[in-house]
Amino acid sequence: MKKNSFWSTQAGALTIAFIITMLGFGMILFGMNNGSEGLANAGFIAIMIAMLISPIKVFFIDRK
Amino acid sequence: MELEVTFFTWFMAVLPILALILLMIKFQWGATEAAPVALIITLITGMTVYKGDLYLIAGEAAKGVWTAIPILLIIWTAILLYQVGDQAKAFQVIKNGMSKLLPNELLLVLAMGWIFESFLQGITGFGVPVAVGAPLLMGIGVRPMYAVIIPLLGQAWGNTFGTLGAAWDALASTAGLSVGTPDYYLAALWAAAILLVWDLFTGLIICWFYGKGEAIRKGLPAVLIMTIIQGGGELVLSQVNTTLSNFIPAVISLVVLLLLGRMKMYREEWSIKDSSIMIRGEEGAAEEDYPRDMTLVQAFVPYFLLSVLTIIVLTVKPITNFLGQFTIGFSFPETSTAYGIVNEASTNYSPFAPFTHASMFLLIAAVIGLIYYKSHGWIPQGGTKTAFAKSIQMTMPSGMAVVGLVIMSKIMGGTGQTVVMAQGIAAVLGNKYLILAPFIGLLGTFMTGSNLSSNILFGDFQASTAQLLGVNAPPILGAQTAGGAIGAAVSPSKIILGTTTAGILGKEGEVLKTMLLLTMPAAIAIGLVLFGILVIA
Repeated sequence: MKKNSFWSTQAGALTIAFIITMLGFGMILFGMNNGSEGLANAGFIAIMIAMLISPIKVFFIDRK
Repeated sequence: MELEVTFFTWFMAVLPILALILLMIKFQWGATEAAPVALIITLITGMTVYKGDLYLIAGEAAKGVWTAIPILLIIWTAILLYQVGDQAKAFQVIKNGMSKLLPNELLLVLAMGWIFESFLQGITGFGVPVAVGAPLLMGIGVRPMYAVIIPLLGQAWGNTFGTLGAAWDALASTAGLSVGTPDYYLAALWAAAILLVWDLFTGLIICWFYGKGEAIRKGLPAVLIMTIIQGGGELVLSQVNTTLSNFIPAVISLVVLLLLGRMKMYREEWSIKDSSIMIRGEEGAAEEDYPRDMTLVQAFVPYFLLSVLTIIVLTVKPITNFLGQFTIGFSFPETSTAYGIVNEASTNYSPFAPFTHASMFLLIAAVIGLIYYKSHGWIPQGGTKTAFAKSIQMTMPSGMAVVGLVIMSKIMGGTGQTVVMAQGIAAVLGNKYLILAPFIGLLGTFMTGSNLSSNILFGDFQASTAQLLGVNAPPILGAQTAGGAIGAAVSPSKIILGTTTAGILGKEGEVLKTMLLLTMPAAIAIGLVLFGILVIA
């Protein structure tokens, strides 16, 4: 119960964002060093999604 | 295709920064929400106007994440250090103890907000003074907003020659200043002279915040003595050894501070009862629950450890060399825009040396501090878990903002937007560009979060522009790095360090507004003096 409530908080959402950012970072590195442009681009998109988690949560989800 | 510097391309380059400032100051958005929006604008301008493809952007984003990680580690470990002290109620002990040691409250604020920050900047840098200073100031009763503003101001002057001259060395290498040459020392002289004046203003501004004219009159002798030691010492030593030119005066100033507290003028209890920066009476009712058997020295143990560790590891060359050899870096291929802006390949991009990084010293100080406090029974049941959990919890919001800001600056750099921004200013203004030379340095730090990065970004550009304009390069370079140091007081990345540890995350816009009002006129004034001396005189 306590774990669920953390992930629904702002800090929890941003922790998820950070994890996705690091996964995206890994995808870009792997993609760039192994000639896989698609993987690198996908990693960047993952980072952008992670970056948008906070403003979306603050201005849309939590406002409801 | 060649990248033209037109008003359109220049405006597109400036747009992300304008958006960031607008969202934070006008709309009071926190940096965690504003940074992603500015990043999206950077992405759009980078791809559409500056013709960088997604692969290039992805590469710059990854470089941004990698560059941000050391900063995140500092945030986390600085917060951990704070949480350890908080769990042990050490800040209450510090407040009571420092009030007895320095009964003059103004001197206490100057000590904890300026002198100690200058010392920390001298040995660590990287935002540590702000992250550590904010809770210390709150511990002596300073309001959270000013607990962030004061250390931001207090640490700025030490950014160029602090951290053992790291930012200065970066400028020298990118701008082609060979160590030991007349131009090298002349540029250092200009930088140190400007920073001496800023150091003086810092002390006076803090006095003004505390109690306006009355506080300035009371604090002036202390401010003058400290400025002579800090800024004056740095000016003199910059002509001898730039590496130690900030560190040695900063250490001396700490010792002199304690002697100042014994001066007739400052040894009596003194305060301004209605000081707008202090929490008084019921509003700031002192916590009575603190360990009565903890002495002031014991409360400072983690900070002593931090200082000793940093001094030993970073100044004892054999230790620095041994620990510094363990580095982690990643390789990146070459990328380029359709306009021919090339980001060179690297086999070991921005290598991170974990054992000589400030975060390692903070972590060790925090952990040993925790063990020490626990051994005395000052950490409550579950306090260790709470300290670690809260530190991670507090790191995430500011961490994501920092990641966003650094990625933004990398994409701007990698697509040529940063250079166009600076070139546009120079092209339009001609030799009046000199007025904005310090502002360019400030802008670099604003964007990247560090004086060092600003110097890397604009050092060569400033040197080239000086040549084109037919003026002497050393004063321009001195203005670049001094402007960059002053910019450390307005950098959102640094601001967010302070708002996080002060517990006022989301208030970055308010802090930024105050800092811009202080730093922008200073940067322009420096530029006017530079223009006056180099062109008119």
